[in-house]
Amino acid sequence: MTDSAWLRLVGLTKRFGGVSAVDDLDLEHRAGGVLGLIGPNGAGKTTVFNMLSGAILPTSGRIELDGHDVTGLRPDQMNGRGVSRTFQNLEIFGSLSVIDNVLVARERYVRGGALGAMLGLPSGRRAAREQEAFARELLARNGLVGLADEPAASLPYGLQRRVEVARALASQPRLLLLDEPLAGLSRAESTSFATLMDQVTDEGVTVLLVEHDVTTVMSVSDRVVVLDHGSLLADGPPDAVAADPRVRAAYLGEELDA
Amino acid sequence: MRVLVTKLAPYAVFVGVLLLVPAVFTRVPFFTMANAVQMGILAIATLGLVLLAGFAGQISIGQAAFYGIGAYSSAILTTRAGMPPLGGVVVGAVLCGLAAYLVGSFIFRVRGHYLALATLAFGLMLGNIARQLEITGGASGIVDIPQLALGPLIITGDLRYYYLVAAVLLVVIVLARNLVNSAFGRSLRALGDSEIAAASSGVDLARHKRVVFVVAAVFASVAGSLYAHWVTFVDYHTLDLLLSIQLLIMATVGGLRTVWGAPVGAFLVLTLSQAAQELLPRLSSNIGGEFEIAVFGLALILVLLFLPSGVAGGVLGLLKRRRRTAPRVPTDAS
Repeated sequence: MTDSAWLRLVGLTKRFGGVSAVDDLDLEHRAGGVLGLIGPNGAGKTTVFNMLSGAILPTSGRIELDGHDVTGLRPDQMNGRGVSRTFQNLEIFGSLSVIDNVLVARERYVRGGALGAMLGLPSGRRAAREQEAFARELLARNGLVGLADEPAASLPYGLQRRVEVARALASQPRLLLLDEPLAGLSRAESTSFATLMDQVTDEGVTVLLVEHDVTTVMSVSDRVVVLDHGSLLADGPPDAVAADPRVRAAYLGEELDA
Repeated sequence: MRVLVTKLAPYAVFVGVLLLVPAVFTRVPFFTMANAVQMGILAIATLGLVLLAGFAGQISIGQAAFYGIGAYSSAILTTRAGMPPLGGVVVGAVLCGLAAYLVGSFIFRVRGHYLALATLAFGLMLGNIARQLEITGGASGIVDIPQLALGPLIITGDLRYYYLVAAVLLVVIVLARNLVNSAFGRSLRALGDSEIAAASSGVDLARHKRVVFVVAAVFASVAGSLYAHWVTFVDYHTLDLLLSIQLLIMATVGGLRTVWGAPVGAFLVLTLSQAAQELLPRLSSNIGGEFEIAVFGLALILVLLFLPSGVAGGVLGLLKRRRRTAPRVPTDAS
């Protein structure tokens, strides 16, 4: 089991001032499937999420990905290692078109540098066309057909969320971090979420899902980890975790039925 | 062919305008060719700021510092080292590029809006140094800088100098537009919108910001050199904070999110400044030229209130909306 662990958190700790948001967290996960991360407010979910994406530095402890220590890497470096993310409070590129939002995540495939670009050298043009074709296909698969050239800021909220997911997938991640992907979505939009999860995991992507809506987490996750006060409270298959009395106590009567 | 035409059309319009300027400026009594030269030079420096502040979202209050480095490099190298003027221009640009690279390497590693403070400090420091050192001519500056020459051809007179400045402006506009429309430029706009999202999409923030900072510095340096060889005199005022602010105002008034904002902003702000200088003393003998800066402020506030994307940005927006409402040719059947 230990040797096949693909994602490994070792003694991961984050303190803000005197408060431990995440306290000595150990976690191992094999590649594949959906790992749901839940917990009451202030349990440290978002902090774990932010450390994994490189947005904040751990106070101590280690993050290992595929046998490599990736602790303390910047967000762009984490992205280079195959980690991409979405944002709880949408962070789309409002001044760009929908397709350009996706293409930002493909810049590394269009090398040629700033100087070459300024001089108008043709070196990167073919690569740019290939990336555009890739992006159009990706948009089509994410229900954004015909919207490629629209300004991203002009789309309704639900579609902007899709743009974010498409952008995160554009990096062809091995680990996809989703931060509250259902916040603010309608019931119909939420239903298509399960389909999306199947689609993504079928391609071999591991998903780490942080979500408030416990019911959805329980229904789409293969494994659920519950955090409370920065530490591990429960860990296991969704139904086992949902039945755990400690989890029920932590949520104080919130709806937990999967 | 059609693609090429639509691609070159903006440049054709711009060249047309640049060629029209002498005809207008030599006939309208309000303007002189010297105004046109000044507008062109400041447009080059402003263009760098448009890239930096408008596209990458990084505010620099030290653009005049790089303008000054260019001007002083030209002055020192030609008067004290006997270098040809063109050498001064090139060495100044290289020095500015290196200085910006070094400053940028430190600044952009830190998160937050330190660039404004750092460039402010950098500018003030250089101004003080230029006033103290002997090599920069101290407080009196450097006089008798040779005029610019291309080989044996010395460019004399405001009209000829204007054509030179206009040519340089056209070149830097083409360079800037190429950059903005590239994959690199797309990432710049992305990080201007959301740094964390750009970084998480694989954009190396520090590298991208540093590159634009260097480009902006080199543009400013070239503008400063052109200025030094034109007025043939330079002192510490070229490094003045006021110029940095003036350049920021030009970029904002013209439009921060389009390269055309630079020439439009330089034209509008300098025209306004000229008008203020001429008209204000006539209204009352007590009002002097120092009210000019208040007029700038007023213009800035009006633009921010009514045309937040600047004058050039607003006009382009109108053109785009027109094109959008026009019946669309079905290009792709998606």
